[in-house]
Amino acid sequence: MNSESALLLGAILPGVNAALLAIYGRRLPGVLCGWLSVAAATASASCFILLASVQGVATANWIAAPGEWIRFGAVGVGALQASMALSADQLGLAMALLVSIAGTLIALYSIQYMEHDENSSRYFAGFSLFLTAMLILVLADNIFLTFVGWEGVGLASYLLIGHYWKESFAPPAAWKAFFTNRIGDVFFLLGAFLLYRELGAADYVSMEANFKALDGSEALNSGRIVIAAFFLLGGIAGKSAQIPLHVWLPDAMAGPTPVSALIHAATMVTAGVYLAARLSWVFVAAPVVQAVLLIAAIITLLLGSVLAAYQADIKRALAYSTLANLGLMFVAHASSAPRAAMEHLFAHAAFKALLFLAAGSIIHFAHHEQNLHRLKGVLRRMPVTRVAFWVGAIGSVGALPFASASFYSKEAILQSLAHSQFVAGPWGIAGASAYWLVFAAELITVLYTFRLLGYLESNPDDSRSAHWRESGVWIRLTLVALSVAAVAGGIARGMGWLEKSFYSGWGPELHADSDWLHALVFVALAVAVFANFATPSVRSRWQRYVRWLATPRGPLERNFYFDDINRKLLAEPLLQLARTASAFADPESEGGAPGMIGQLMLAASGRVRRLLAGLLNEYAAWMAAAAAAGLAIALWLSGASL
Amino acid sequence: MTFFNLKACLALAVILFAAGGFGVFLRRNMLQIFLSLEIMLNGVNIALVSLNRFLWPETQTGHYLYMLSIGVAAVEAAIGLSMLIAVFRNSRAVESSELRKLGDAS
Repeated sequence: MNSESALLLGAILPGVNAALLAIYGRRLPGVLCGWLSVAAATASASCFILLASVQGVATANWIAAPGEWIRFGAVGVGALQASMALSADQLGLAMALLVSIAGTLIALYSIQYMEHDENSSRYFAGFSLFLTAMLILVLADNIFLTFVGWEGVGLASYLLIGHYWKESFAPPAAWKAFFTNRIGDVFFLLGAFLLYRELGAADYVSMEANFKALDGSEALNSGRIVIAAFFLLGGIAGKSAQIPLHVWLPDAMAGPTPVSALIHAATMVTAGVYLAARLSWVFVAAPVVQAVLLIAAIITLLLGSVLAAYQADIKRALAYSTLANLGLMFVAHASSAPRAAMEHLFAHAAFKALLFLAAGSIIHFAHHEQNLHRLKGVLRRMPVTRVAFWVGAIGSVGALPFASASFYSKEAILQSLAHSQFVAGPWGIAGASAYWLVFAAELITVLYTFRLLGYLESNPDDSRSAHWRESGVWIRLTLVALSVAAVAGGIARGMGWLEKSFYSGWGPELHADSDWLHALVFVALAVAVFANFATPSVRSRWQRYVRWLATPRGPLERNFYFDDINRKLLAEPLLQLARTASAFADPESEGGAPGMIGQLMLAASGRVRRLLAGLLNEYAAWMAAAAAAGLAIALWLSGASL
Repeated sequence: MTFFNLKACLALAVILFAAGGFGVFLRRNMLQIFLSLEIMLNGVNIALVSLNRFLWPETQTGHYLYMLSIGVAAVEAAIGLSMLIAVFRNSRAVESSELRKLGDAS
């Protein structure tokens, strides 16, 4: 098997499985569907591992091109060309490895998680569709094929969020995700076309080369590249849930928990981060866009962190935490440090998938209880999940070196911000305040993570917890594997083993000079928060104060009013318009268009109807009159005189 | 024969035609309407033959047309009357004002 076919197989196999399950899934038992998905994901992961091991990730760059795909116009200037080509350079292959390996583990986890679900075949079909779309997204050789994957993951996300469609909460959440992403995707397409127009190529390699060749020319100074970057930013914000297109992510928790782990933590929401890394040269050339991105990212980061600390629902808390981490990645992108962003992407994927899967394990075996107050002490009954959650939490905080890669990546992001243009230039004060805002958000991260842990580790309420049991064997296996992977990633990053493979040639070496200081602060805060939430026996003024602080009020309760604003400004007018239009088109109603047309017809025919009374004599008279009139006209026209 | 000229003959034709026409418009009985139609046709026939007699006396076109017209009128009368009888059998009515519905008669 040569490299091209390995690449192609790796991307296509889950898709084949998705088609298979979509067609025959209903007739197969759910467990079999699950195992098929695991097999497909494993095969896909094996292909990519094989690729990576044969050549080493650093030097990988193969093209597998099944053929031409889009072609408008003659070859040359002005022709729109894109091929069905997959390429695996460092970035794409690293992402593909992440997606396929995480997909394999989470498929395995899903088998047990979905065992009592009668629609699990549909779930696994969507799952496999998602995998193939995401692999196409990250391996696509040109921006239009990326868009295919981009839409594919959006569709799969919609299908999976709406998995429990019989429940009242799932369909609106799915629509929300879908619509919000549509808005982003329009921007993405506009940006892609504009870039194509400016650079005359759709594949990333020629794009970058053409862009470098533009240096200093008129096209670069015209600002069109900046506009394209802005449009792309809109697309990225939609998929990666940045302000103001972030509203769908918390609601996306309506889907099954493994979906949240795979799609809304580890892979799909990072598509924007991936694309920004892929097109980092565009963003580096557009400081204005970077500034906007920095502002949006910091707002997202703060909002996500703060709201995560106030959620009563364990999954929503993790969703807001995801939001915050995505914001963090974009802080890195805004500081022209795609390498730091990608590092954090991988670190975050590991620990957040772990947290979500552990949360899923908790939810699954506390009989779909998601409220933190009623989940008190649940971890004490679940040793494996407990370890996994702790590993995830330490990763989320990023406080300990060697325990999690996020310790390094967060530090790298802070440092890249500290050394970015925002700090150096005339806006130094803004850059510095941005730095401290990010740092503050990191402190809040510690707070919400250990608040969660505090709840889950406090004394169990025996009346509720008597029937709780540790999850099944596959779930535990997955959790252990992911925990090991997360810790191994941390160790590998700490020892500097990854420098040679994943990250070589990805921008400059990252500074890290204050990580121990930060880590100290984080650990201290973590201990304090944990003690506060886990041991309610501590009675003091401080405790009461924290109670007061931890009660959501006003904007915190309403998630900073984003949903309300959207409802008021966007949804309500549109709904009103739709209602009006629907009433207008309603054949039953008097005021509607069909009724109006009918009324018009009746009014117009009222006069005529009386002529058609069925009286033969009248008809004859009219006929004669008309004949006479016709004759008169004919005579008059012919100029004859009577 | 001061009255036997084109104008007088055409006047007779017009009078016949108009009388028939009024009959068609004003009568309600289908039979009477038929009769009036025949009268109108006769008015036209008189116009035909008189035009032939006074304007083109050496041709016979008017006569041919008159023959044709009479033939058509006869055929029409036969068909019309048979339809009328069929209608009458259906609805027991010969008044056109009562035959206002399509389909089955009232």
